[in-house]
Amino acid sequence: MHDGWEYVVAAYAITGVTLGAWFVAILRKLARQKREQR
Amino acid sequence: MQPVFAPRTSRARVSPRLAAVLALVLVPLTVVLAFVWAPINEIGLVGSGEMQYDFAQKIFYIHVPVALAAYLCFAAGAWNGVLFLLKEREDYDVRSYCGVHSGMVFGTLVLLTGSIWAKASWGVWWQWGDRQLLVFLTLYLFYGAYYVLRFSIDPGRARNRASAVYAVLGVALVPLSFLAIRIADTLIHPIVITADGSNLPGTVWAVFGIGVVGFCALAVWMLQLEAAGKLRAMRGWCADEERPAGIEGGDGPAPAAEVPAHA
Repeated sequence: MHDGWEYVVAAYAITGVTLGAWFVAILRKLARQKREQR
Repeated sequence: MQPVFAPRTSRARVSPRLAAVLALVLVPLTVVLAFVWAPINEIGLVGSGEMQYDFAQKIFYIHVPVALAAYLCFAAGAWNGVLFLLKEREDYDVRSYCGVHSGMVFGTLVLLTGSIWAKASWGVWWQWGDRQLLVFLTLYLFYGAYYVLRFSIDPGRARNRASAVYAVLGVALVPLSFLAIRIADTLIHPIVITADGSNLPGTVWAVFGIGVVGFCALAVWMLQLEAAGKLRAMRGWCADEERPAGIEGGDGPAPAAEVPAHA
């Protein structure tokens, strides 16, 4: 294992979790709006 | 009817489906290529005689594209702010707000990934002597204050105009941030692209380029998703579909009472 691997994992994980959570939150809101519209 | 993941609002200039496809393909591809194809810089022999590699440089492939995506969002916020000031249409105000909001999310990631990379490479979480960091932090805090301004004014024309002017003023910091590392005295922050061209090896440049396109497409997609959700909440009907009978053109400003407090 290379030196500093834990920093790399942390950076990628934070980016992935943040963007993923944001994306899911927006998508859920849009899906709810679509359901309510019907 | 548009799919939930790719709503087309009336003023979207980039197809949300194209942005979605580019983001969903290129962002994961960037991550894979960063680890399996891009080279690892050799630092040299360490005390024990072992070769040491700069593995933390892998953070570069998300840190810089995410920064460029943040700049793109702030620029979109400013551009829609200009359009709002010229045309006074409510949807431009919503798009301007969504641009700033998306830029803040990407900006937070820039600061977090940059700080982690700094700790791994420089041994410190933050370097106050680096102008690039300070200018980006100023840009970030400036747009953070956008929320304070926007939500301290009652919904309506005055709030929309003040928000638009603020979003336009802030974008002046974007080119300053880009130039800061080139005019800085302290050159601890690496410069990727110089006046002489790129100082990146070909494979690094390729993965970086894919990352830039992927994250910028992701920013455009997220901005459009945000705007579609807020426009629908504001108007009470689907912005990308036929307007119900009795509701007149959605391009005009909506009554202030219809604007939700969170928009």
